[in-house]
Amino acid sequence: MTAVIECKDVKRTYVSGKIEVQALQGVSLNVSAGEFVSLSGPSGCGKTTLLNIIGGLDRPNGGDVRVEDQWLNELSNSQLADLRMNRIGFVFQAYNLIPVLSAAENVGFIMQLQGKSTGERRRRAKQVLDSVGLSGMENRRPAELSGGQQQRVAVARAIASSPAIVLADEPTANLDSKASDALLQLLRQLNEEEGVTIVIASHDPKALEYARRHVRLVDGQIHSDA
Amino acid sequence: MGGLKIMAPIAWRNLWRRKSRTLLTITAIAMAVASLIILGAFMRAWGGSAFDRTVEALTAHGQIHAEGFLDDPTVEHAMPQPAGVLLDVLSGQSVAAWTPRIVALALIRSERESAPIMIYGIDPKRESAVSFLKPNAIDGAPLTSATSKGLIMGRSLADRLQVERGRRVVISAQDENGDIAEIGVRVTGFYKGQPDLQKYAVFVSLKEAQALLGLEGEVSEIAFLAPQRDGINVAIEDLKQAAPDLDIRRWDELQPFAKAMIDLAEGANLIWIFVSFVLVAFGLVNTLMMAVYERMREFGLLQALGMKPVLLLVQILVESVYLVVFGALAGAIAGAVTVNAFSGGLDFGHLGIGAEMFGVSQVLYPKVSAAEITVACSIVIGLSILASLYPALQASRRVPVDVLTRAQT
Ligand SMILES: Nc1ncnc2c1ncn2[C@@H]1O[C@H](COP(=O)(O)OP(=O)(O)O)[C@@H](O)[C@H]1O
Ligand SMILES: [Mg+2]
Repeated sequence: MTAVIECKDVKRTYVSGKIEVQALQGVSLNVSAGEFVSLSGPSGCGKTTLLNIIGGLDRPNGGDVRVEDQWLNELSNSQLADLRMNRIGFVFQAYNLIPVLSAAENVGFIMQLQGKSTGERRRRAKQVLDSVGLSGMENRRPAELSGGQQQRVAVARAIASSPAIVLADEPTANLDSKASDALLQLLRQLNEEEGVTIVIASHDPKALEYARRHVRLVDGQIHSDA
Repeated sequence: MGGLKIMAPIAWRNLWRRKSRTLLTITAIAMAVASLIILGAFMRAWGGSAFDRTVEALTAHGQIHAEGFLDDPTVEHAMPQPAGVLLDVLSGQSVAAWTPRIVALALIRSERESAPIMIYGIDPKRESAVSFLKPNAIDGAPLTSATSKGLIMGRSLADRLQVERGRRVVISAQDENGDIAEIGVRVTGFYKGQPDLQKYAVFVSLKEAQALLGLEGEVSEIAFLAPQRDGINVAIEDLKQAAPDLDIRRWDELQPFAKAMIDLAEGANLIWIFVSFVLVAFGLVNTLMMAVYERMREFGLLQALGMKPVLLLVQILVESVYLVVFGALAGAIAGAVTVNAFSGGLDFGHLGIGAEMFGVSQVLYPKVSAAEITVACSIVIGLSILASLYPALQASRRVPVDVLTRAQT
């Protein structure tokens, strides 16, 4: 099977003041369509940096990343935005939602950027919110939802726009264990039923249980991959 | 554009998410627009008032003299009473009213005091159509015809000379032959207002002044009004053609100081536009920068979800457009209401002489037109949106990944 994500010797160096931090020191990694990969490692090992680069939010100093058939170095910022809109879903640790939009509007937001009709968005948002267990909460604003509910809205949004890849960065870090389980269950379902490729960065052991492939980063390098 | 349709409602809701800051910004913009309108109206009222005062204080829209009179206002520089082509033009379309005058330096003596004065011989009917010297500006008996007996002076000169109405005064002046001529005249009235003129301007009939100076059939000055302020140049041109040998001047050549005051009134307005805009621009940039900085995470999220940088720029601009347009509307209404409240006249009487010194009458009549409101709003709206481009560009230039993904680790 061809890789849907291909990282080729990716390097990223941050300069703050006179200190250089080598966040990624040459990471090569292939992820095939339909995989559920965990990215673990001690804090500061480069997990977030790698996810940002794969998602086109940040650019590497060396190496390149291919997502499906596009090498990211060749894309403009605007083309990267299009790639994120159509092919990649993000779930962050917190603040995933636009504060002034309701749950349903947040779920429909990417579809709105994609130019889908209001009717279609509303139908799909309701359906997806139902499927993540948030029936009846369509009109709540993020501030009126619990942390776990907010994270599930973020996953619902990813589901609604049917991306090829979901990149989740510490999605359970702010959740209690019950909410963590519910969220991870959702991601697994998304992976198994829709065939969405999932990469989840986490040092939560529970997250590792749900993944079928485990990549461990240490000091910006791949330490193990199994 | 589809982007605007997505962003406009979000921008709108964001305004209400930060109510107090939104209101503060709207208030600042409203105050700028309102002060532009109000100050503009008052400045123009002031300028207009200064102009009216200059015109009615004998200057009129322009004056005709014999060549040399303005440098040396003596009897030698008199001219014949208007006749022929000049009279035709004065009576024609381009001139609304005109009045002949004798003007001469003279000495006035009462039983107790004497003072140097300017003696004016006038035709009361014509004069009242041109200057302030109308029957209702006079306490006592006004002059009734160009041949009347009697003398009108200012109250302050009367106080200095210690004369009452009905008393005789003696006027002496140099006549045509260089001799000192004298007449005795009875004071019949005092004129009101015109604090500057009151000290030295004394009026008798044209006939009386001509007799005193030996200038039968001659005049020193013709003052005229054009039908409107913007018709003055036409009148001057016509008169110059009719009387190429005479010295014909516009009001602002005769009163350069008044002209400077009126120009200042208009110039100050421009300065105020500039100052208030700079204040608003600083406030607006500051507010928007704060708003943008606070929401970097949100802007990062929007870009992570696939929103293009350009759309982000649009979103921030749409927010400032809302602020600026509401502010400008509120300011326009506040400004117009304020100006209207004073359109019946704002009395500066209690400032007394102080205000009059600047050529302003005691009551100003500010006015405002839809065109002026539109201009004030356009200036502030246009420049404010320009000012908000800076923080908008800052926010959209790159994806703020740091705040987006690392803020809490
Ligand atoms: N903007 C930045 N400036 C300087 N150093 C940074 C910046 N972002 C990340 N780093 C550094 O890069 C390394 C990797 O960070 P990160 O990818 O966030 O690690 P992780 O997500 O695994 O905790 C860390 O040492 C971190 O301090
Ligand atoms: Mg991290």
